[in-house]
Amino acid sequence: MTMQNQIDSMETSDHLAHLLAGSVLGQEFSEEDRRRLEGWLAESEEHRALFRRVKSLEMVRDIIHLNKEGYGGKMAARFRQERRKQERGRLVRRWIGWCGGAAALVALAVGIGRTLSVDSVVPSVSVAEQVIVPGEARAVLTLAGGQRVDVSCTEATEEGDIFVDVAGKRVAPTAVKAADTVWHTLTVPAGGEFQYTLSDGTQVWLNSDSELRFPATFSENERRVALRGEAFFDVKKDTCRQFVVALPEGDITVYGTRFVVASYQGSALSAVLVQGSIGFTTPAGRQVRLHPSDRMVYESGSGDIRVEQVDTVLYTSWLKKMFVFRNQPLGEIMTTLSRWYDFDIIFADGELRDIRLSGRLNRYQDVGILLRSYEETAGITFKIDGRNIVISKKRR
Amino acid sequence: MEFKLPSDISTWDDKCMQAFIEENAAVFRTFALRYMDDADAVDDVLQEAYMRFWLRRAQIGEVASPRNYFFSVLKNIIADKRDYFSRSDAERVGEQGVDASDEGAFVSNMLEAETSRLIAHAIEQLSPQSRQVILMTLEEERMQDIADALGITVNTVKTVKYRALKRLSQLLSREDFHFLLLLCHL
Repeated sequence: MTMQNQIDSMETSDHLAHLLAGSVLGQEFSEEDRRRLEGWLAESEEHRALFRRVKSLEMVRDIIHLNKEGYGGKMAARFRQERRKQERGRLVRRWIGWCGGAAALVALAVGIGRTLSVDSVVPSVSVAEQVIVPGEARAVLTLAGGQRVDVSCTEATEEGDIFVDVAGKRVAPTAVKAADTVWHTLTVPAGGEFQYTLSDGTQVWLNSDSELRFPATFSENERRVALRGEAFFDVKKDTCRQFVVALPEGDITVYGTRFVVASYQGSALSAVLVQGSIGFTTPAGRQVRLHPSDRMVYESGSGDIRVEQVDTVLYTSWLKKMFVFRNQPLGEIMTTLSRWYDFDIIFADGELRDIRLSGRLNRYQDVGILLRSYEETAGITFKIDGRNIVISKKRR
Repeated sequence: MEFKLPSDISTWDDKCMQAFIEENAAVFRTFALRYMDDADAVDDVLQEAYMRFWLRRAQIGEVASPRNYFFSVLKNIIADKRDYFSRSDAERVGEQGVDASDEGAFVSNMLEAETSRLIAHAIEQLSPQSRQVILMTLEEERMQDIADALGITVNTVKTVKYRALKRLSQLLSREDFHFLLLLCHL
């Protein structure tokens, strides 16, 4: 379609837009308009589907919401800045991370309720000096006999009848003899992360500060592992043996394939299903079944189970070596970062825990990049003191 | 519509561009999100589109609808970006997002965006109370539920609703008027 043809058809579509909007808002039409609209709707299922989508007000609500936040003004101001920069001859290089895949990027948005003044960017120095090094892919495998194998070194090691090939992606020890189940433990410290393949071919990605206990070979009836911390599972299909992840709070039974579960002490249990089907059973026998994109949060104290549909990228971004935060409380963001970068957080001003921020950062980059940007846009000061980060309100 | 933007984009100054962005940024963003599922990168792409639109304004010249023209620019930028990325990323986006080379989808998305913009614009001009009642009415909430949620009586809901619908109708007609005016001047 040429640009002109495109534009011509756009004009008829403009009139159509008025008819559709009018219809949704209960406007009275002339005979001609009414017939026009009905004719268009009768033309195809696509048209009717579009009308249904419009009636659902999904886009309408988003537009109203954005306008309420002053989004238009912010974008206009940002454009003005960009244009001025261009006119001054400075190159503005923008690296765009696409759909969670590409290069490291820090993109910022300050959440609802905060006024962002684009013109008042306050340079900060407090974060510049100290660099907190990101974690590495390291883990320790404790074999059933008690021997500890550091699986982050680059040489292959052989332990009796157990062979562990070490280089970032591991193949499971496959014990040959065991009549009783021989259990191994894979421990990933704070600041580490690890990918592992179990004897059935199931792949597990362990996040910082996590531990997986698994048998060298699975039993005939079921495949059972135990998890503390956070892991992403890509379960190999085996119709004869279901896969069970045992947690302190209960068991997750896997009927399908890909999900991530986080069970850290002090936090509620969270399980996000990417693909397939899983079920969660509490010790008391309560059961919940999840569908793709469901996130389940279980508070063992109160016994509350909450299930909601989520954007699974948020919960699996750590797999792709990116942190992705979307409008989350700073308290939560810092907890996640502290696990990976292995530092302690101190909030000098408690209310800062609740402010909502977004951002993306390649986890192998210096955390200071993200923190510096928050300093500039959210009026916060981060002070790095050894392995502590103290967070306080910026005093002007 | 407070500020009437000239249809000859080549005559636009900074003030016109600012007004254009401020008025339409929301609908442009919701449109772009149909093609991209990375909400953080969307604003960067939009800024690129604004820049391209701005830099080419002399060549573009006179258009019936700057907004519609911008939808094309935006879609083309997104389609260009698509080509940079690996198959697997493109496939993944394909599940949620729409293929930017699909003309039919473009027209549909634009129609949906434009329609939604009209509805949103009309609703935004209602009083805050009317706005809430109308949104809930359009979402087909029962009158009693609306009354409960807002802490008012069902009668009040009825009154507010009918008054609001009538007002919306007037507001939409005014939009029509502007639209017709635009057509006359071609």
